[in-house]
Amino acid sequence: MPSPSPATSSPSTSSSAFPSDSADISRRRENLTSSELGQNKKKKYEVHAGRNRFGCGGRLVCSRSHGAFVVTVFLMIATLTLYFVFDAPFLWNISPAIPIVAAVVSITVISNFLATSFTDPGILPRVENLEIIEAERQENGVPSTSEIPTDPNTPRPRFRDVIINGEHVKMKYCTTCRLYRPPRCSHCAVCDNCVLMFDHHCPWVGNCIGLRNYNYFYRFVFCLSLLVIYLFACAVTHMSLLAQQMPFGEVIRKTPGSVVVILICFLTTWSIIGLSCFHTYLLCADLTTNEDLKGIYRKKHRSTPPASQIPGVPTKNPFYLGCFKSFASRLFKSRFPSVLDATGYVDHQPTIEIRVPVKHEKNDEKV
Amino acid sequence: MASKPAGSGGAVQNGTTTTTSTYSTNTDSKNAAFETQIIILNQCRKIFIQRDYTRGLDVQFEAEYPARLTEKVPRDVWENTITRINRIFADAEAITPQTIFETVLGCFTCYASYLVTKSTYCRKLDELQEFLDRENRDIYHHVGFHIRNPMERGLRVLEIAMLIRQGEIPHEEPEIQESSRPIRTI
Repeated sequence: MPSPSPATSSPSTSSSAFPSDSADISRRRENLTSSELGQNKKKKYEVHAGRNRFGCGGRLVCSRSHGAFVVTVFLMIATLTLYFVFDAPFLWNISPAIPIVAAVVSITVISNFLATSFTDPGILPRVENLEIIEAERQENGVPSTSEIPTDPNTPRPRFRDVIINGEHVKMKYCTTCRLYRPPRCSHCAVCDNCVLMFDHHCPWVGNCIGLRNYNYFYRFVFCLSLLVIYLFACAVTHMSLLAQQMPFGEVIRKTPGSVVVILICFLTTWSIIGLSCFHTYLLCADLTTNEDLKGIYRKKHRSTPPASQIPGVPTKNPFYLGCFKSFASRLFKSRFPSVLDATGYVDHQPTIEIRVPVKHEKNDEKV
Repeated sequence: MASKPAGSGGAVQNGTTTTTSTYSTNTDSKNAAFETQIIILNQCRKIFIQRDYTRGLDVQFEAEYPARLTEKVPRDVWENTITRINRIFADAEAITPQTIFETVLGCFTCYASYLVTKSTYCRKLDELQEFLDRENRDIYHHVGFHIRNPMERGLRVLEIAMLIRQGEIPHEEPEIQESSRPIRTI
């Protein structure tokens, strides 16, 4: 694959020290290696191994299972349409502010929803063979540990122990992605990817929730709970005001949409409010849903000897920095870059150019 | 600059082996004629610097001096490089008024602002790329190393390629062609 052009704009791709020359060089390298590399460049998302769907040239990332996602979209569109057709005109006459607030909150909800659904959640790309070979060579090459057998098929130890803020945490080896999962990273069974800071796979938004889209997700859930309550209140107000003027049967005949809005909101509001409270708690405690469900840091799950003596069993959440700091660090950090880099080009033969002083002896052919 | 034919992928000619004094020679000779060599990184041995998780999940790399750099790169030069890399990441991860403003602006514009502006993190990564290019060009290439951008490895490890020199066989084991190696199953 030719070396990436400077136009790809991703900081990760161009390792050439002299980009101005790279077009020329890549052309020559294409001649050299065209047989094994094929003619056209492929983007990384085209060769991605996980079960993801990509859109817009790799800019949009979502899961391949989308049944519940369609339901969510349908429910949101249906409820909002009914509200703006049946309730909003009536409420506009009372005060224009009421439907305007609803519109603003709806737009916030929709934008956060789309951002959650189509942002790369923090997928770790799988490790190439070359890196594994080289990493093993490095480990075995160090003189102090040279006694390790060098058979390439020896399985790796399943865990690697790291100490985070004084607590032992296990990094589990992921056999699919062939890497030691960083702390808080987990393999999503639905998408078949390791996701950084994995929270959960949310079928309703059709994506994993991880490091990169948790903040969108939290704002989505929070604003959605506000919106649901607001729509419910609006529809109830609308119907009760009408009911003062006419019998109830006529009210239902006049605004059947409000009845549907009330029903949908009433049925969904409990789970949504519950979810938004739960995630607020998780933010304050600096936990992920995954960790909370597994109960890693909970006292009652600990075995009888003091857990601090067993390596790999943390006694407290090592990431907790205090309620406010935890909250802020997950909502107000700068956007983490997509390490998947789905829009970048695959570079099977990365090359660099270096400048060396001219000497008179010639190089051997190395390829 | 004169470019070599593309076939000469494998070798760095610059046979410098030792420390500080060699640098100065190289920097002095900058005015002399240079040629560009193309090096295929897949053929090089690698040193991997692991992530340092001791202070949490923020991207930091282990500052320990890799044994393979001994006699090629002085310890303080390496420490300066790795500290700078870590500081760039620490700055990128920090919560500053600017990042808060970025986020709030994003919320209010339905994330349209994210499409047109670069995040602080991205700008820091550009700074990192620039820094690595400079360090590689000025120091590490001369002694046969190349630090790759950690984004290439998903910010899991920092990869240093040991550029293959002419006539030098990697000392631990003979050359292994990657294609002939079976795919590892674990």
